[in-house]
Amino acid sequence: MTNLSSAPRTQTPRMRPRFGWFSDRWIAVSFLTPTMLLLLFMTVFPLIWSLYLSFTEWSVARNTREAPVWVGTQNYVDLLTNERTWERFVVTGQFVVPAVVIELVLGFAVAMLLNRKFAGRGALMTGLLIPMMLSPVVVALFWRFMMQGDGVLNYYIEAVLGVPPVQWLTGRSVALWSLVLVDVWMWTPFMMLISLAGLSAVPKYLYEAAAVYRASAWFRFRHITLPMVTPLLLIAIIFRMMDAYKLFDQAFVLFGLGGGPGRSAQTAALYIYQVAFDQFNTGEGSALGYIMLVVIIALANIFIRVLNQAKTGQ
Amino acid sequence: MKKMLVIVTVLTLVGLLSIGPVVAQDRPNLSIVWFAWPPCDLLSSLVADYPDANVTVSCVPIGEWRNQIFADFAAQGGADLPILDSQFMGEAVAGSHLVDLTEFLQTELPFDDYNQTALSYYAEVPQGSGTYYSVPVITDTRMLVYRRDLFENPDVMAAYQAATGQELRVPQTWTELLQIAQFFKGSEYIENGFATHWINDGDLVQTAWNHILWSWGGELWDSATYQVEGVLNNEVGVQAVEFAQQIFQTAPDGAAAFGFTEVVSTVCNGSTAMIEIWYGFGAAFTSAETCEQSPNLGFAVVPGEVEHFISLGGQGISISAYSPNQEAAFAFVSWLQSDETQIAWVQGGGFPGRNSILASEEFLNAAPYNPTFAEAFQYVKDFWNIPEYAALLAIQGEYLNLAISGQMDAQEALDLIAEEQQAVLDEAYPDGPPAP
Amino acid sequence: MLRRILFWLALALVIFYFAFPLYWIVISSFKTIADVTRATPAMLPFVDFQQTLANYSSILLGTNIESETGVQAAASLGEFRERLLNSVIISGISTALAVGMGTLAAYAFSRFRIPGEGDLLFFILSTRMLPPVVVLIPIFLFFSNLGLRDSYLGLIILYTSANVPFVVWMMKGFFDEIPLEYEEAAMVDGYSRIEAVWKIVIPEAIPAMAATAVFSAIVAWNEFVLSNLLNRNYASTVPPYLNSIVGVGQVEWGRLAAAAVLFVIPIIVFTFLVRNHLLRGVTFGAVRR
Repeated sequence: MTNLSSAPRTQTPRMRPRFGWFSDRWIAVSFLTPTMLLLLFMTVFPLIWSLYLSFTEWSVARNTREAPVWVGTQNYVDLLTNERTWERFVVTGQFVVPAVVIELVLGFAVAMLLNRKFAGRGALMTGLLIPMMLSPVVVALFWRFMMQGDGVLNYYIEAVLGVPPVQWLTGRSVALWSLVLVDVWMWTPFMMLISLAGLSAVPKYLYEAAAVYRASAWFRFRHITLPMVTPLLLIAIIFRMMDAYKLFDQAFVLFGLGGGPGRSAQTAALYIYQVAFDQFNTGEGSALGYIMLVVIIALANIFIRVLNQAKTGQ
Repeated sequence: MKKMLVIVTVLTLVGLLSIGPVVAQDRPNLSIVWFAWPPCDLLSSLVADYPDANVTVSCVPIGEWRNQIFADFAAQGGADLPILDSQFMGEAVAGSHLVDLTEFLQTELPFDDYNQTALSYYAEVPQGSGTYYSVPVITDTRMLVYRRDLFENPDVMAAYQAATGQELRVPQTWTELLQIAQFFKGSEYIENGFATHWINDGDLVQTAWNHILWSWGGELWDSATYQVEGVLNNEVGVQAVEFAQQIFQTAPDGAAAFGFTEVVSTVCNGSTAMIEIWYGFGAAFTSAETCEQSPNLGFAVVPGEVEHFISLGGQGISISAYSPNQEAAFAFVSWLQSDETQIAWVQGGGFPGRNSILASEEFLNAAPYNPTFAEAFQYVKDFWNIPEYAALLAIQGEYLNLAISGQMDAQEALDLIAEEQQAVLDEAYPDGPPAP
Repeated sequence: MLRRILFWLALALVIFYFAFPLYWIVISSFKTIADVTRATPAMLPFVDFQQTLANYSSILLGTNIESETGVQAAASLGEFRERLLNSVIISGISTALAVGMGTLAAYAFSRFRIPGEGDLLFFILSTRMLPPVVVLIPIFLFFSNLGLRDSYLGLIILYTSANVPFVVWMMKGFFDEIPLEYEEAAMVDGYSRIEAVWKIVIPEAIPAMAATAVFSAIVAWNEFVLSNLLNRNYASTVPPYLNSIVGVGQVEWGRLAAAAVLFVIPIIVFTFLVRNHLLRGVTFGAVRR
């Protein structure tokens, strides 16, 4: 990355350095201030405002010129006792878990496949990374096009495999899996990339030693490869879980705010958006946002604990 | 590297400079927002001729049409001239987002010439109050588009006669339509029978099904008592859903995700014998270049059953309370409603709100389906026009889409819709409906 | 030998799974309306279908590929160019700001003892976990009141704040790798700290800054929710536009595909440029190579 071997070329030193009156303390403060202010302004301040709104009954579209009405914890009570709220989180979970697991397994498998030298490896790697750099909107549109009732996927499923067409976007039990499929396409390369980084860091001599003892392939995998790669994979899992939990764009493009057949693919983020910016129940939407936030903080803490345990256990 | 930095800085500055308005304009700017469909494109090209203001029309996806307008209202800004669906009017007036146009309509425009049904549905809030918040810009309802070549083909006619014992004709009832659709589905003549937009997006599945319900003699709710439970989920309602389930079976694969585009495509590419869609989409069928089957298409009034109702479409144009150019907006509406502009409007494929224009030769000759429009418009009926519209719509769309596509029992779906909608209404109106 | 065949077979499957959607979109962008909706998919240009550039010219030049009475007016098609320019301006400026501010903050975190440094860094990281939809309501109200909706400035501020945490974490990692002796030597030579940063550290960090900038630019370039909600009338970017041109009367997948391809080309170029930094980039600097 940075070239450490070449010494920096300094020009003729001067006696009186410019900007010398800037003490380190001043520099630290002035370097940090813009960033901290911006983040304070764009995250902390909005969070406080929406905390207030979550205790009110107010619609930004219908009560535009009226002040929010304080209703205490009414919104939270209503939401937490409503099955529908929990359904959204269950749907989100039903999406996140399979998506991340498949990405992990597939990504790791592809990494094992690519963890050797062959012609065109570099180009192939770069190509495989394109999906995750694309806009989620573009990716979802591509797939929506292919998943239409008479789309190209169904054509080949019928013509080549001879099975009836799949209700990708319209089947109540299929829709969420279609979303998983899109996410897997987009994010498997991420898991692959990290797995590959982990694999290439495994020292060769361990395998050589294992070969001496004629260890089975499974033994090598279980006792050498996996332990070396696990810490990195845990980081990857956390990142993916967090992102998948927030998923909005792909579900929105594939299914609209309603979340597809029977809301079967309405993720929590989609639901909040619908409440806040389609039904314009601003107070209720803010409360939902807070519930989502608490859930993600709790999950993040659990994962970080798991990660730390894995690190210390190593 | 330094050079790179300089280049980047210069480019950024150039970019920044080009953002600002280049020249000051004498003419005021007016903006219109509508949803993406052929009439919106027509309006875009029509306003280019308006001399007194720069008018821009944005045509947004139908699923975002309502929430964009209301997000703009919430921000106390947005388009000067929003075009709202009739069901949004109650909500918009409740938030005092629209300018009262009653006086303007009565003094500046030929009030008595407006189709009173359209005026009442699109503009009058609350209905019967005599207060108007919009001017009809397009009247609309639904039409049946069918493959005339098949309906008139002697072989097909004979086969149909043999199969059903009846004569093949443009269906006069929904039951007859179903029978024809079932005959065509998977036949040697064409792949599919009947399609419409069964998707749960915007109000698509709702408007496609509502008039089936009404034609069976059912109701969505009792608008006097705000009662859904028992009114919607009764025997008639179930019949209407079960009928829709049967007709859905004759649609192409994946029809549960059909929006406007797919419906138009499926008849244009020759895979479906009959479709039903808004008249406003008529322009999509008239050019053989975009619609392969265009020369073979026929147009008819959507049938009834026990009764005859057709979902109401069409919208009025309103003036935003937040528009800084209200005077210019009034002037624009006057221009839009003038005889000359209205004739251009119908000649381009639009549907007028005024009876005299509806009866004019220009309108009747403008498109092959226009002669059927006046008849169809007699049967129109609209649904909820209250601020809770969006919540009610979402509930109906979810279960209706499932039921029609055969993924939920009809009774179960209607029970769920009724239960949840009733909960919304009871929460919003604990003391019963507001006094008129 | 068998293992070889299996290896190449597995590789071929992987390539097919990832490449097919891309291939399909690219060829669709060269199809006419009739070909793109054909029941039997046309796979090979020249062989299966007659390719056309009409979709591209329609998107870029605003020419109408239908007849006069056609479905979509030319006016709204020319919008793509406008939106592309908006995307360039907004991603460009927000990236420059984020990299500028974030690099300075990262330097401070790397070189000075800051009270509560760990907490501050965690706070910065935690803003990444925040689902955007949670802060959407207050941001919407806030922007509405300040008149920042439908403005370049609004999205620039938002994208800058979305990218700054990333820049801080990435650049802190890079600065940590630059030995302290660099600046110290310069300061012994009589440079002030500011001069040492400007003349010694920054030039050393430029490659890292460039990679960080590309990642930030991609995030801003691809963003959808905020742009879709806040900038609908003015200064709107490309992603909401792509979602909105799915079609009106006729399925316009060909045109959509063309727009998508044009929109995606810069990303592919950028991906190629930062391929060696990818790992760090996508993990917030948490994983180094």
